Amino acid sequence: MNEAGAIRFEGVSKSFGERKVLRDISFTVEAGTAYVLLGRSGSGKSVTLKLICGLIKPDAGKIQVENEEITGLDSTGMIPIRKQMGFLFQSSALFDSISVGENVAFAMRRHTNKPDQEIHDVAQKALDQVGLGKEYDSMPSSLSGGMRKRAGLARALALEPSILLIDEPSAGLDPITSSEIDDLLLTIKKDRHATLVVVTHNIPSARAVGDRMAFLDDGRILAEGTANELEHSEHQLVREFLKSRQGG
Amino acid sequence: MRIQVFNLATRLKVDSAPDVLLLVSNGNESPSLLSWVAPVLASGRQAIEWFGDLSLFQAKVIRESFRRPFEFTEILRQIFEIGWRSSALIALAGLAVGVVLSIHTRATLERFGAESMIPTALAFALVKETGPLITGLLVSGRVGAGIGAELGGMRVTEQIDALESLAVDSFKYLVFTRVVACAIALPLLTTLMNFTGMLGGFAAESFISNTSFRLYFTHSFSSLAFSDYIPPTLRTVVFGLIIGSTSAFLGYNATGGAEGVGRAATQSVVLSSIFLIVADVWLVEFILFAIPGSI
Repeated sequence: MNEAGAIRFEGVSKSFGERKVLRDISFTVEAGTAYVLLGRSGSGKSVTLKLICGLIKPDAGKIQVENEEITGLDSTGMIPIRKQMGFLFQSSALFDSISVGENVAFAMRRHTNKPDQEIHDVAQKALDQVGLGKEYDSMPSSLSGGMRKRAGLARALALEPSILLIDEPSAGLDPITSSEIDDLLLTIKKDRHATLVVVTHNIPSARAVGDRMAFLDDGRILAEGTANELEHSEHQLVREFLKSRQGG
Repeated sequence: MRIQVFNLATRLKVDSAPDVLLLVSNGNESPSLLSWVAPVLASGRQAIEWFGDLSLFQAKVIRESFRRPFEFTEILRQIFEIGWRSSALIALAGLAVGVVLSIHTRATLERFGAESMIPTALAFALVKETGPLITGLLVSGRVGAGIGAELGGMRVTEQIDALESLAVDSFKYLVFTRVVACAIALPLLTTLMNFTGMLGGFAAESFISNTSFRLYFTHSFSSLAFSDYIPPTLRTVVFGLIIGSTSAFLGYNATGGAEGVGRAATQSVVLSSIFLIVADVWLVEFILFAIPGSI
């Protein structure tokens, strides 16, 4: 796509009050690849995803998305970039006042001129893909945690984004569904040439989906590379993390 | 950086909200003095910052009213939620207020043999002050708490972030629409309150003195002009802006999980009611100055 890659961080730092969450991190995610962020809880993985989406601003450094510097953009300026992105939140963040199907259809109703029936069909198809075809009219409060996660993924996929930001896709899912979600992500990456940034604690899932991985610790990238490279990292913590979670 | 020196011996005053406060002591002052000066100044600074943030938030609402998209569909939905769903409460309260006001007015006017003035007095009391103020307070209770809790809940469950991630301007979609809907709904609800208040007054009067419907309302409207109705009712547009913006500000910026949502809902009611009462006093003075003889 371009030399800079689909997503590029340059010396990015972020603090919340006295707490430094990210310290001068730099990495590049090439277009059409899957980049997995690993690390212990509170190491800054979810904050990295929110920075890519412009939901929070860095204290220092530059962030480029598809060759555009987003650091200085406000909410309105981010709109065209966000239309190319899908974001699955850790908490799913479904809109609880509308049905599951309408959650998936929401962005299409806002940003496309498709007729109602077509929007309904696309939303239905997205729900079918994540195994929630029968839940179109259900309210989010009636779904289990895992089902909400899958509905959130269907919503993130609805606009066929070129960049997918996925926070803990397999949290709360059984191994079979988790594996199905991995397959779905791989299909999206392959068929749509989409760029994926995935935060996960599930090592088998990270291996299945990720082309490259970064291990975050205390706001710094401790190691970066392929799964094999991380397994042989000079840092004991990285090796132990990959080893201890081998079973998922 | 603003540095202030406070001499504990002379207790000279300092300006509010300095960045750094140096307390100078000669060692003979009461230790309790130190314990309250710093917290009071810190609270003062926080309050000033809070009002500054609220003012910027309200300025953003005004700025958004000139920028596309205008979100007409969502505004209409919110008018239904805020206006229509409050109408039963307002109508019932209006009837009760009308009955009570009528009974009190009769007890007073009877002493002067002026019972025939009851419909006029009641109409003036309702239209000029009671209707707008009670409507404002009732709406701040029902709608203010609702907006504070709803937006607070959306904030702490990342739904507002999700809206932004779907390329939707959450401020425009959630805040602007609710504030505008409040500003439109309040005058309509006030008119409903005035009308049902007069109906309540008539019900009480007809029970006591057998007054006919036609005679009662002829007396009610005989001295009432549009210039008596328009300024007090338009005043409630400002009440709507206050209720909508204050509760949306508290909800939109809520933090701290379920506790934060509860706090946003409670503060929405308390603060919008206080601001509304203060604004009422100020607006009555302003209208009296701008349109002499209208109050």
